[in-house]
Amino acid sequence: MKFAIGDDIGQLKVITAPRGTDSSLKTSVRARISTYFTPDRKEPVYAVCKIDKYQGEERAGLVAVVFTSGKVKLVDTSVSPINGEGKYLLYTHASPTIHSAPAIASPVVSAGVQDDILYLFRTNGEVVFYRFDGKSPSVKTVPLPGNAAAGAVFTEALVDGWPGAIAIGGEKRDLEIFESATEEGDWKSVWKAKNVKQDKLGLEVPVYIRRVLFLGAGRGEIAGNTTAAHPRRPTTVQTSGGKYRLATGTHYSHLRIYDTAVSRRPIFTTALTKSPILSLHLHPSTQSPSPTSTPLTVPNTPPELSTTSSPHNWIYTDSNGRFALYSSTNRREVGIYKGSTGAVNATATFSKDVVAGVGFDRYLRVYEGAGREVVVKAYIKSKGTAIVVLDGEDEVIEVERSREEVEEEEVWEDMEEVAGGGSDERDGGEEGDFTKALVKVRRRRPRTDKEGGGSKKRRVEV
Amino acid sequence: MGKIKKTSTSQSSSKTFTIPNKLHRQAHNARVKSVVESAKRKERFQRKKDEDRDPALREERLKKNIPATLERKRVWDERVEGGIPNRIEKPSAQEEEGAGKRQKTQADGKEEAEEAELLAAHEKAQAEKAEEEETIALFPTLETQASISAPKILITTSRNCHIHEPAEQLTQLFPNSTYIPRGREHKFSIKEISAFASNPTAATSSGHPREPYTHLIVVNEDRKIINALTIVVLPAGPTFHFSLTNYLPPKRISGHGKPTGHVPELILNNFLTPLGKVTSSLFQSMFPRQPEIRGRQVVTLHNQRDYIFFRRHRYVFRERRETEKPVGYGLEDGGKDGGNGSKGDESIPIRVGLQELGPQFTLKLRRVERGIKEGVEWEWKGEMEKDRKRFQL
Repeated sequence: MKFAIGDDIGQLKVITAPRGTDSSLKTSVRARISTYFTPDRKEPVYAVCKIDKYQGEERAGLVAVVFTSGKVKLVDTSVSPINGEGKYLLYTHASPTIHSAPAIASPVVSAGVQDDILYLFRTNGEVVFYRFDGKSPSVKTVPLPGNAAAGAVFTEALVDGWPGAIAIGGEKRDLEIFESATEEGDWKSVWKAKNVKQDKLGLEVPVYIRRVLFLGAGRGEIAGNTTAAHPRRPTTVQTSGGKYRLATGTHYSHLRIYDTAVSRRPIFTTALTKSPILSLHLHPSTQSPSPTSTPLTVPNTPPELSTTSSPHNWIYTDSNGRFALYSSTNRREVGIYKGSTGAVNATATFSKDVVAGVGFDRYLRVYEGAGREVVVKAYIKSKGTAIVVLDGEDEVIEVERSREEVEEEEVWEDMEEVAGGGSDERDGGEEGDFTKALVKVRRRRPRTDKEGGGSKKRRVEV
Repeated sequence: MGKIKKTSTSQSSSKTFTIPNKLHRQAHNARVKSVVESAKRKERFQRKKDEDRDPALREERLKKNIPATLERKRVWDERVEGGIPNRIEKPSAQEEEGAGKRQKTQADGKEEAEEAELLAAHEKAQAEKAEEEETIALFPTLETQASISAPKILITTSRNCHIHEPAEQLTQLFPNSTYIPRGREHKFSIKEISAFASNPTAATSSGHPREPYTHLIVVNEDRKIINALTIVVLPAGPTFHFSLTNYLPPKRISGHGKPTGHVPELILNNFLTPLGKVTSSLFQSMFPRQPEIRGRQVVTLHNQRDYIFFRRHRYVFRERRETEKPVGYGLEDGGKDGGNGSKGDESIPIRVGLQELGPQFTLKLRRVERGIKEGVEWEWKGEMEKDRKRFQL
């Protein structure tokens, strides 16, 4: 299995480890690690993303590294790092800030890749997109008003090759969705979320969104140039902008699901733990939600009690070291991914049921299966802050078998199984053995009798 | 020196288990015991006679009989570079087989082996650099180009504290530190204190703006005894939480000395794992980088089995008295204390005299948090101590 991991001092590590690696055991198979980039404490990695197409052709092993400062670098991991940065670094881009403020003042808060579009969000509200599959990489910058602490992009309906909608949220800034009218048109805010109702003490529940996810299959009808682009109140479905479904994880450990077609308040909310959520993913076992016409939750239930109708499983980590799986269908925690001694900073999923996590305890842990067993535990020396799975399959080592072995196998395969007859024989055999055992015991005693009694010296059995 | 056969204690062969009469059985056991003990005594006396005649035998025996302590039996830890010192290695059959196989495969791809070597060297260089960067990222006072090189420590206590005096004594421990008691009505939280300690607004009496503090120590008290320390590295650094035990104030140490204001030298022993290295960097960052040798003061932080022993001494080099052993005695190669020297160099007529100063206490790291109490990086959990041979620092 191959992983790309970014750490807090700006390194990119590519780790190849077969299933069953446990580097804390001396006898275990070792993981192979290659490190790219010189360490720099001022450039921690925010995210790593797998890029499939570059300059028109499909290439394997391309990883885009997004740094917290906003730099984006594209690395070819099939090239060994000893060949130097010139060989493995394909592309660098430092997104210029609009107001010529230093890059550090506006760090990246969200980044990722979706449908071949790499996106990153900055604190000042700026969103940058990258596409690498054309002849040359293309960049698009979208300034959005206000601050941001989290963002996500909607790529199922593309407008001129760029995402059709952006969701953004932040500290004291509730979720907001922007759509782009045309290529040059402004991004208009089409939907704004409303906070949940006041809690039992009559206090406002604080808002601080840390993670936003678009849930798939919510096909939106892009409003176009109509003037009805700013719905202030949720009216009938047709007039508002696209229909979107989103999930958010907050600093106050809430998981909330929103459905723009239903209401502005979240349709589902729960408090997972007491610490801020660091990462949130949908577990691959989540069934792809039905098209928009089917509601995601039972309608008219308050969000604190609703459940999702199709099975939705969420992988989340919080800053207190909890790495667990939550089911919104049953409203309970399904299980914990055990083993991490520190907070898990980043998680990644891969087909079916492979979940990987890296964190402050400097270990990469990969879990598989419904039982969430650890299949890989590798020491990676630095504190990981980002991870992506490059390859979830192990290398199969082909062993050359000699002719003799093959012949032997054939011989064994031809032989009949002796199952029923064997058991009978065994019973009879046991009885026979038992009698032998009895006989043996009888023979032993006379010997000891001889030794017992007698002179003083013999009594001491040394 | 004859070998003594061990008395079997197994139920099937030992006679103890076959004599049903209690008096007989007790008499038998007493006889067995006295025989075994007299044999041991005989062996010991014989050994003494032999070694009196030939001291080389004794040295040989001491070299072989190294007591197996928990430190020596420490579980192999991959995170410790270069292996754990003084650890007993058990070459198992499996490892030898593995070694043989590895040799075979190495003979195969020469080019691959070269590349692998280069890669390994590259990785090693990266790792070293990475460690440096990490340390400096966590502790700004350890930066080589000193923008903030002198640490400035703010010491305060937990809320409703009753032990201002011992807390104030800690200011004598760390040069350039101040003690400010925690507020009585408005009790600031640690985050608030950190915020205004790293950005001081008030100016000093001379009109210059105050220098920001680099560390904040919060002393926790329980029933009038210090029992924990929380050290926050400012401005945005990690938080370390230690539990403190066996605190001895200077007055209780017999023959103690009075510390002067000189910057002490620092001795950090036995911090092996990455977590241990971070902890030792923390202590390093709290003291000014350049010690004043004239002061002859030394602060020792000795880590053993995850307990950190804090001691302060004043040392002096003086002439060796006739009755004293030479320098380096007992530190032979492979001896029970490990070591790198001969059996003491008798030609050196110098010994070190130590006088203990100041408080002495034991720390145990309990929790490391990212930022100022945001996000746990490492926490001590009881299950970590299930394996008595596995240590974290």
